[in-house]
This record gives sequence, C-alpha cells and structure tokens, in this order.
Amino acid sequence: MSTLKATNDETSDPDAPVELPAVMIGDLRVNYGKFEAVKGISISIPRGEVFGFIGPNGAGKSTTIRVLATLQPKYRGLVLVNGLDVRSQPHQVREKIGYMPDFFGVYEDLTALEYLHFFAAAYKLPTSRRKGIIDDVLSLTDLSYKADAAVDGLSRGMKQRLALARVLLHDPELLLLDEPASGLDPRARIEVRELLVALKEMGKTILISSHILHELSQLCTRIGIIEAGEMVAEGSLEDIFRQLQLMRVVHVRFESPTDDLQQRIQNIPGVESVEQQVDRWAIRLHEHQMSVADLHQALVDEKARISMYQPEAMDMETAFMKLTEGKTA
Amino acid sequence: MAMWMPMELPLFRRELAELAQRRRTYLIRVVGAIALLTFVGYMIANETQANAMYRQQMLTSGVNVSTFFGLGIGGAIFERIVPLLFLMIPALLPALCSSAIASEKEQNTFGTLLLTRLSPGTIIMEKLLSRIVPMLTLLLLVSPVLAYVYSLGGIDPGMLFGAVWLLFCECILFASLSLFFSAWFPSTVTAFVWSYIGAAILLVTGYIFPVTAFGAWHYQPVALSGQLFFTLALRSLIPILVSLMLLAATRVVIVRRAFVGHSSFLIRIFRRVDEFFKNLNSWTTGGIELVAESNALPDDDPVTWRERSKKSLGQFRWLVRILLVLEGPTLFVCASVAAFDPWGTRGDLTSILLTLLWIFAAILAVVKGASLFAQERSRQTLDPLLSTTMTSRELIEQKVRGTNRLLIVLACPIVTVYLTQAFMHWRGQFFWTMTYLVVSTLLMFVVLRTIVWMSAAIGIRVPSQNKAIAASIVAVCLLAVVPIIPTTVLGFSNGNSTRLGYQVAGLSAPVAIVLVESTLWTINRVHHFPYPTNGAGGYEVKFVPIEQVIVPAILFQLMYLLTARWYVLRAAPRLLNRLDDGHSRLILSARHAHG
Repeated sequence: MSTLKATNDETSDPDAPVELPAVMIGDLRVNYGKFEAVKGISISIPRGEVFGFIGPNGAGKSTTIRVLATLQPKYRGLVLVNGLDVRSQPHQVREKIGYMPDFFGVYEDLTALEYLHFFAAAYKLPTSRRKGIIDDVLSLTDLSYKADAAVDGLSRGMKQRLALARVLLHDPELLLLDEPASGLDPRARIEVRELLVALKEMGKTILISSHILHELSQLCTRIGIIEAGEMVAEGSLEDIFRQLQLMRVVHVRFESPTDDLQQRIQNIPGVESVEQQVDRWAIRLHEHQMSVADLHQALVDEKARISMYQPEAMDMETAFMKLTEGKTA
Repeated sequence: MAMWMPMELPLFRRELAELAQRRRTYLIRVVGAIALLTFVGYMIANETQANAMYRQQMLTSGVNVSTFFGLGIGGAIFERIVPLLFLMIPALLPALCSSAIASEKEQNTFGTLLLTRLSPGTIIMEKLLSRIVPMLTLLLLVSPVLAYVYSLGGIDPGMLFGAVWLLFCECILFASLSLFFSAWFPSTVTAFVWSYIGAAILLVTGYIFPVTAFGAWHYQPVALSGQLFFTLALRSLIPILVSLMLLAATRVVIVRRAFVGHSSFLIRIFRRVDEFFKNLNSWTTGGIELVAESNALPDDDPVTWRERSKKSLGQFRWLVRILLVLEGPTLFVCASVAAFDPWGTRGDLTSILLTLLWIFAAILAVVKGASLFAQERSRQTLDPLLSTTMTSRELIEQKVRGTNRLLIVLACPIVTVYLTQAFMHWRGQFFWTMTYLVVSTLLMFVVLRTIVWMSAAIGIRVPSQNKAIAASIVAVCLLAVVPIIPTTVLGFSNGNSTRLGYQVAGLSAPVAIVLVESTLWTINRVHHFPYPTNGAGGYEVKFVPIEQVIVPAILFQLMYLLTARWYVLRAAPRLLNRLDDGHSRLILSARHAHG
C-alpha cells in the first residue's frame, strides 16, 4: 500500500490524520502515439466536492477521466484516488470509483434488474446483500417500476439513470461521470441533474465533465476549464469570474471621436488595450486597477462623448469563450 | 453544351482513395503477392525438376533426347497455376465485397448516399468496380509469371486469352454475389458469412454442372480455336447471366433494404416454430417442459452467465437446434455409409463429412471467439465492465468459459463420425479403436479450444466485430496451413531419412489432425503410420509405430492451446487496455530495469 501520509498543519492535532483529497493529479500527460492529448494537467479535488470539467470536444476531458478510471495504462505523472496510486493499486482504486462513460454502455438484452444483478456480481457484492442494494439504487434513480423492463425498451433518460444506478452499486466514494447529460432531452437532463444533486448531498465526490456549461454552474462547487490538453483555468465559479473580470471588456460607442482619443484611452492606467471595431470600441480593462465605473469617469474626463457604454456580462459561457480559443490538442 | 461529359465516378474514386489510405491494403497485397509467387515459383521449380529427371532417365536408358526436350512444359505449369487463380477469387472476393454496402448501412452513411444524384444503379456499378479493381490488381501480379510460363511453350494463345477472360467473368460473378448479400443484410458480418456460403454453393454447382465457368475450369483449360471458341462462349454465358441476375436483384433490394433493422430471418423463423411448438405442447401436455430455460440471476460468474443465458450461441434451446441441424444429416450419412459402403469402395464419404464438419465447427468457434470482446467493444459496453473490480484474467476466463456449451454441441457430430469410422474398422482390435476414439476426441477439443482462445485475443484488440472475425479466420488458416508448407517443401527436397521427420513435423498444423483422423483407421489396421519413400525398389510405403505419430501430434496441439491461453491471460490487461495489479507490477519492474 502506498497510501499517502499527509502532514498536519500547526493548528490541528498532530496525531489526527489529515483527510486526503479524493483526487490528486500532478502533471498528467497522455500521448496517443505522437499526439499529446493531455499536457501536464494538475488538479486536486477535496472529498465531497463536485468538480466540473469543462472543455470543448477533444480537449482531453475523457482521457483524464479514463486515467482516473484505470482504463488508460499509458500515462505520465502522478494520479491518486483517495491517496491510492492508480498505476500501482488499480484494483483498490476501482473499489473506490464509479465510472460512467460518455455513452450508455448498457446491455440491451437484459432487463434492468438483470443488468444491475450482473454488475453486482461483477463487483462481487455479497449475494445476501445484493437484493437490498439493488432495490435501494433503483429507488434512488426512480426506476423501481421499470425493474423488469428490458433495457432495450427504456428511454434515453432511463438508460442514463440505470447507468447511474449501476455506478452506485458498490457505494463508491468518487463518481467519474463523463458527459452524463449528453443527448438527453430537457426533462431527462433535469432528472439527471436532480439525481446528481442528491448524490452531492449524500457526500459523494463527483468529477463531472460536460460542455453544457449551464448545468455545471448549477451543480459544481469548482470547475476546471481544459483546452487542447491544458488546464486554462481552475477554481470556484467566483474565482474564475473574478479572474476573468480582471480583463473585462467594455464596449463603448463615441460621438465624433478625435484622432488621438484611442491613444489617450490607451494611456489611462488599468486599460490593457483599445480596439476599434465596426460600430464600437472594445476596451480591455484590468478591473483590479480600475473599475468599470472609474473607466467611465476617466473617459468623461478625456472629453469623450459617449453614446453607448456596455460592460460585457460575465457568465459561464462568456468565461468559457474567453478562456478557450477553440483549439484542439 | 459539351457533347461528351467525362465520367466522374465519385463513389468509385472515394472507395479507391480510402483503399489507398489503408495500410492493410498494401499489407494484403504484399503478403498475397509473396504467397502467390512463392507457390507459383514452387510449382515451376517442381515441374522443371520433374522434367529434368525424366530427361535424365530417358538418357540413362539410351533413348535419344532432343535438345528441345524441355520446351512445352509451360502448358503443364499453366494448367497448375490457373486453377489456383480461380480458387483465389472465391476465397478473397467475398471478403472484399461483403462490406461494400453493408458497412455504409452500419455507419449510417447509406441514407446520405441515396439522397445524392447518384442513382441506385450507379451506386451498384461503382461499388462493384471499386471492389473488382483490387482483385484484378492482385491477379495482375501473376502476369510476369504467366509471360515466363508462356515463353516455355506448350500454351496456345487461346488458352491464355480464355483463362484471362474466364477469370474476369468469375470476378464479376463472385463480386455480384457478395454485393447482393451486402445490399440485403444490415450488417457486414452477416453479409460476410452469407457471401461465403453463396460462394460455396456456386462452386458446388460448378462442380456438379461442368458447363459453368466456376469450378469446371479448374480441371479443363480450353484452347481457343475453332469449336473451342464456342465452348468458351458457352462457359462465359452462364456466369455472365447469373451475374446480371444478381446485379438486377441487388438493384431491387438496395433501396428497399437500405434501412432494415438487425432482425435475422432465421431467428424470425425459429420464433414462429417456437410459438407453434409451444402451443402444441400446451395443447398436448398442458405445458410440461423437460428442460426449462433458466431465469436465474447471475451468481458468481456474471460474464459466463450472460454468455450462456442471453446469447443465441449460448442458450440451451438454440444449441439444441444447432445440434439437431448438424446431427441429423451427419447421422444419416454415417448410417448410410455404414450400411451400404462399409469398405469405402466409393471413396471415404465419412472423411469428406468430417472435413466439412471441421470447417463448420472452426468457423463457428472463430465467430464466437472473436465476438466475445469485439461485440462488447462495438456496442460500447466494455468500459463499464472494465471499470468493475473483476480482474482482466477473470473477465477473459469467464468469457471463454461461456463458449463451452457451444464447443460440446459442435463436437457431437464430429464424434459421431469418429464412432462410425471406429465401428466400420473395428476388426476386433479394441485397444487401437479406443486409442483412435480417445485421441481424436481429445485433439478435437484441444484444437477447437485453441481456436477460441486465438480468436478471443484477436477480438479484444480489433475494434470492429467483422474485422475481428476476418482477422481470426486468417490467423486460424495460417496456423492450420503454414506449418505444413515448409515441412512439405523440405520433405520433397530432402532424402528419405528426413522425410518421416518432416511428415511428423507437419502434424504440428491443426489441419493435419483432420487428415490424420481420417486415415487413423488405416493406422488402426496396421498399427503403423504410413509414409512414402524412394527405396531401392522404387517408390513404396513404409510404416512407423503409431505412437511416434500420435504423441507429437498431441504435444503440438496441446502446446498451441497452452501457449495461446498463457499468452492471452498474461497479456490480458494490455490487450484490454486496462491497468491491473499484475500489469502495473510489470510496468514498474520494466521502469526500474531501465533506471
């Protein structure tokens, strides 16, 4: 066992073990031949946290999750799950995780009950406890009434819930959910989200990837934005917004701007750049040096006649668009 | 407006471009060319050597031999090469053509293709063309050899033209056949299997009715002169007509069956039959079932449970049907032979039956073995399974265990033939008869099990099911035949002292087992293994103690099985692309070794 021994800080009881993070990834690199899919990602996810992994298609989200799920043998870097090394203790890691890939992965020729019994046996759950556990997960995922229905006949949302039920069978501490809401209709998506909220309240650590930003913002305590195999931002939603607001863009339209106005605005402390667009000017602002209101005042002081003043709204999609450039690794 | 519009053939160009981009295209061509040219080269050398020996014998016996004695042997060589080319076509073209339309259906691109301005007829023709071209290029590889053979004399230009023309006709015929199945079936695997069944039926038809080009050509090359031109035209007529009919049928079904689901015709028939017998059973017995299908939930071996209770080739009732379908005709043939021709005066029918049953069993074992993991991968159910706490070794062992019932069912008719042969050649020799039965049955299970392990390993790595099956068939064929080639070649070219050794070494090929089994009754009679030799008195047959033959054969086959099993289980995590505790230890130890 190479479970990490954590050090205690000065204020706590020196004999009490410090809780290890549920996930610790250090400088993770994954290559597919010469193609580098993941380029040195580092993340630490404390227990009980819901971590949202955001990125465009091909950014490296699924690859990172597959590494955690012990399904990516070739990688470099340190990857720990509950302090267990994925490389040297994959079997113990599998007992701690529940992995749901970005496709249903359900056997169409079984009934929902048979499907869950199949995986209960695969997880080697004691025979005497299986029925009770399966009843519980069916109840949690609201599929009890479909227990004897063929998987083939279930709706997409039900299949996804069944896949979630499967993931919960062995009561894992960490859930690795790769695009759990992709391809679902709005109702099914809401149902899955509510289920995830319930799991969050049960204290599960969840790593969830998605490119549907809205659903993550309602669920995640922290997010990581990944592009072209690199982590471009990581932190709580507030942290990321704050980080992005440092470079907030303000759209301004001037009445009869003078020739030297652009240069004078550029010289205002806190202004990063000024770009003349077709019908407006885009001013990039270091907000920690100058607030949006102060910029307005500074422009008035420069005798500029303002006909429109519009700071760009900050939301998840804006953050995503700001942080990513549509690159692929 | 231009009077002449060049033909663009976009589909044909796309298919050829795709073909050119695949590495395996070149691999197949190179391997195919090497195999073909080696075989042809061997035949030329053999024929030339025989001719030289004959010339020497004539000179020794005082006969005056002309300097031009060797000229004209080209004809003999040509007659041996051409049948090989004719056999290549039904062997390769179904594999090339069966995916032409079915793969488009599988990838959901066929609907888009039908929405273009390409008419169904154009699609068929372009698809046909795109599959025939690679086959023709492969055949073209032999043209330098044919030119050389032609220079040796003995070949009428008409023979050459006739061969090329009939080869072309045969290409069109088998391509049309496979294209029809490709248009009919929704999956490449089904189209692949039915294309070969259809090709086999055509070949048998050609064997029975020699007027057709297929089959009969293997035995009678024609010269194109006078009346024989008519013969050639007649021979071309039937394949061309059959091809046209098949293409017309393809045109009819290509749109109608463009979006058919994966429901098997046979399964639908069996369901009807099921329903009928169920009703009959309810009416007559009140619904008594002697062996009811188990509805039990999985206990400790979930993967085996699913293979046995949810797969057609694992469920009891389906296996009983397969058994009945195989065992019925087998019993009939065996009983007929035992009753009417126990001395094998009309050829050993049981040996032919045995070979056919072996081929069928091997194909089914390959399909089952290759599909074990390939199907999970293609249906995206493998990752959830791999993320469970089952070890890779457990997963593979449980999967392979799920094929046991099928192998037993496949073994039953083969054992029936063994029993018949033992009964026919009993002659009161209990020990040798029992030896024959035990050895044959043991070897059969060993070889079938080896096939399953090999195919399973290939199925784990190859991403699609049909490719896994095709690759497994190639691998099994190579294993079955390759050991024979060097032993045969060396056996011919060496002295008598080593010939027996090479023949025994030839038993390392699984296909030799079938041959040995079919001649074991002879061994039973003489207790010795016959082998040809050039003794002082000329060509004769000598015998060696049977145990010297049986023991190496058993050891070879056991070695294959154990090696295949050992390799698959040892490499299980790597094959499954998954970390296992043992696997990680290997990685770590390798890293330590490299500092």
